[in-house]
Amino acid sequence: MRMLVVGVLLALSCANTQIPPPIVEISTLSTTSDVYDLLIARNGKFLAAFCKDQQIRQWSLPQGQLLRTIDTHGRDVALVFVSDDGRLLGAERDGTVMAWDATDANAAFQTKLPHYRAAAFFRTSPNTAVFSHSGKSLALSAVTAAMQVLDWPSGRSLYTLDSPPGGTSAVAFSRDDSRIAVAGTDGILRIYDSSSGVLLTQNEDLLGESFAVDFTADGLQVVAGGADKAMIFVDAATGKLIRRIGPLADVVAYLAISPDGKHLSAKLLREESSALPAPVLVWDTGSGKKVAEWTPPGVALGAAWSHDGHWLVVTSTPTALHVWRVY
Amino acid sequence: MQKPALTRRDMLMKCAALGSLSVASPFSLAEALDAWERNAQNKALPPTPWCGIGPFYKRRAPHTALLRAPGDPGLPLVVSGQVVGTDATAIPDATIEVWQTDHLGQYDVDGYRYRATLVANSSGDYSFDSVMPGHYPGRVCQHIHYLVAAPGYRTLVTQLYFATDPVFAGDPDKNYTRDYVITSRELVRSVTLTGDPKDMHAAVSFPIVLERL
Repeated sequence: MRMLVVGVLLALSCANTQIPPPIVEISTLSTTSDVYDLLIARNGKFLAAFCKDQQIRQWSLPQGQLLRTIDTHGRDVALVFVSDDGRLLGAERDGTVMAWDATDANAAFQTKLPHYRAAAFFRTSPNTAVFSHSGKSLALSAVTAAMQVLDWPSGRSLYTLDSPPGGTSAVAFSRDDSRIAVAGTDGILRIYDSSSGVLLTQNEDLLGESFAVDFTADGLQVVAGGADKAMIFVDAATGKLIRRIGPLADVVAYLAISPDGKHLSAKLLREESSALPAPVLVWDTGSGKKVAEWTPPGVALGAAWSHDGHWLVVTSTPTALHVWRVY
Repeated sequence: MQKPALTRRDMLMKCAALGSLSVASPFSLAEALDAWERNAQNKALPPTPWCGIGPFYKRRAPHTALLRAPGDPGLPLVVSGQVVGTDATAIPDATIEVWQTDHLGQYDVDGYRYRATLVANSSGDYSFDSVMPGHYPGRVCQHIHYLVAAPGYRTLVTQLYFATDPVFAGDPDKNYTRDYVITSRELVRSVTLTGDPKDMHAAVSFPIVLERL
């Protein structure tokens, strides 16, 4: 009885102070080869890794079941996107971009972009290419050319979006697919109509490059963050700054709004070295209050919100990938 | 036996060696001779190769040619050059943004240390005073980023590298691909050291050739 009372009091105490749930490892995925690159789908249902043996492996989450292995035939591939239904995008340094559908190990199409950015620096940031939420189109960043928006699965170019001289570094579709937000290497956030590719508005409140961008669940605001060690909420219609979160301890490498729109999460990157572990954080989008912060035992290679609203982070050890539920 | 005829280039090299030709330009002798030959043949200069912008560009860098503050540690470095079009005509007022790490390889993300906006003079010349950048973790080679813009010309994003970088092991011709980001050997520039061992300075020439739109 006494234990029950203590338990109830503890539960009430946690409810009052909003102590976040404990961080637990929910899946351990055995790997037979070192992982070079890793991504999680936006909905947290799939994890894909490019390994030293030049195979791409794809697992389901949270089960940790190996779904397929794709032989890249000796190519050095940076993974750039895993769609909510398991389609994969990979890129090579020469600008070749390959796309695989969810079940076939043969690439559905392949295209070549001038100086594709994915392999250049933040290999683990799934920010430079995205499928639309409907899965019917695909936006690809390039450095010296305009961003391309392609039809899936034909790969036909629908239109291009103007790009600053240094290229673009992050792209996101609104959840109704009506808008595309693009973060340029010039620090300028541009918002386009996704049916026509027409520039609707832009924001210049960040001076450094944004490495991550997302829409709020209602599509009314865009969140961006990067080298400024801050994140901004911008009105998607006017481009005006609404709110700023920061300064943060480090550079924002990735950010995402939760499925219900109530939380914003970010994965930071230590500016002195990307090989050092850096914090992952969660905020309440309504109040702007930070509700969770955790520095993983290793570099957070991937992160995503699961479809049921948990913030997942992946780290690696020489023989395994570790999937943590952080919030 | 008839001696083989000297090529035009051989002849110019001989003139230079004998002192009857000297080069007073931001270009090296080889580059100046290339330019001479191209002019003679009415050929265009190749544009400076593109090289990725990297993750730490920051808008609104201050207008200054002095990136190095008094007492800053590191090897003092002067970089200079001329901004020209592919027809070798000077481009006055070209805007040149440069940014680099400090001598230890750290970028200033919070402020504007070792970041500057320069404007080429009426002859297209530019120059800035800095320190030799360190090796940024995650990158192989020491480098300085450039973003060069001029009305009527394609904006150039590139990087300057140093032939003295230990990564090249003294042979940048052979080893420049050790940093996969380097897109061209042309971006690896020779370094001139001056001064005595207690007060050594480095100088690098980095001419910029822009393409017309």
